[in-house]
Amino acid sequence: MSLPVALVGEPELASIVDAAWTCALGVDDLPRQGPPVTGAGEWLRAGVGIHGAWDGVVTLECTRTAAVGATSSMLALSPEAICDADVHDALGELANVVGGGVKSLMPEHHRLTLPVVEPTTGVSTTSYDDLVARLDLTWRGEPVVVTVARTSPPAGSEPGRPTARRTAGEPVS
Amino acid sequence: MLALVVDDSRAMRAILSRVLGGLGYETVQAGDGQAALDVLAAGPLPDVALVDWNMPVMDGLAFVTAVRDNPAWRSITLMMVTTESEQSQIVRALAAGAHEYLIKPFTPEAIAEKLELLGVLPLGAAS
Repeated sequence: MSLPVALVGEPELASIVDAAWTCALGVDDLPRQGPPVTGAGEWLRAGVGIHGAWDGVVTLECTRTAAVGATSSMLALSPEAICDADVHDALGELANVVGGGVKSLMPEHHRLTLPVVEPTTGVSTTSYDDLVARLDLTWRGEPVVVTVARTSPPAGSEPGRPTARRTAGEPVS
Repeated sequence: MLALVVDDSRAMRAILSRVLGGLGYETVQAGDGQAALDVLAAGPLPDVALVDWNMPVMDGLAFVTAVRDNPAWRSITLMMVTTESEQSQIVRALAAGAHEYLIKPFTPEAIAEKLELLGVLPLGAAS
């Protein structure tokens, strides 16, 4: 399937991100379009795979500062009261909701993997060859990058069978 | 009224519990379907359960099926809250015994409207 480039452009992805942020963090705390992100440092990457007639990955990348801020708001706890597992869980859920929004645009049956969250040393999605859409955003002064990219079908995967939510490890596809 | 929130994400459980708390519910939480069944077995029974679909250990569809298979739990109103948005999946959930279906991302207003339609909104809660 050659795909959803026509279905999932940057305007559609921006609407999905806004809806996910509204759900998780409130309508008054939305990310804004920002300059292209090239920074390095302490980042986190959350990805969910979409598999079916089209295979791809939806990735949410942000600085650890942004991830901790989002987690703190989602859990209504101070940053000092949350742990790494909380941060991975919250960022993974944000990616899950964005991924679900992207999947909902697909005309055929697709399945969503559970999110995988891992630490990185900077935004990395520019390496995708099959980039479908990318948003460079700013949230509370911190850079956030959301991408949709085509990937290869998962090898030996069992369709529709979610595994435990993972916090690090191999890519989703 | 008591609501059970079943989701493998602690953050999503917190968000849903906050919304439900604002509507006047007391809430209990479970991180997967099996843990939710344990909550039901321990009691007290919730008036409504908001259930994610994709979870490890036991997914939401299996949980809904298990609840509907137990006559003692027939009074519980079940609402799926999930990123699964395909019509075929919605039909599967409703056929298994879910009363309502809400797609993530949701708004607090959408949750209140669904619960009001189901007749399980606490007295005095504004939808």
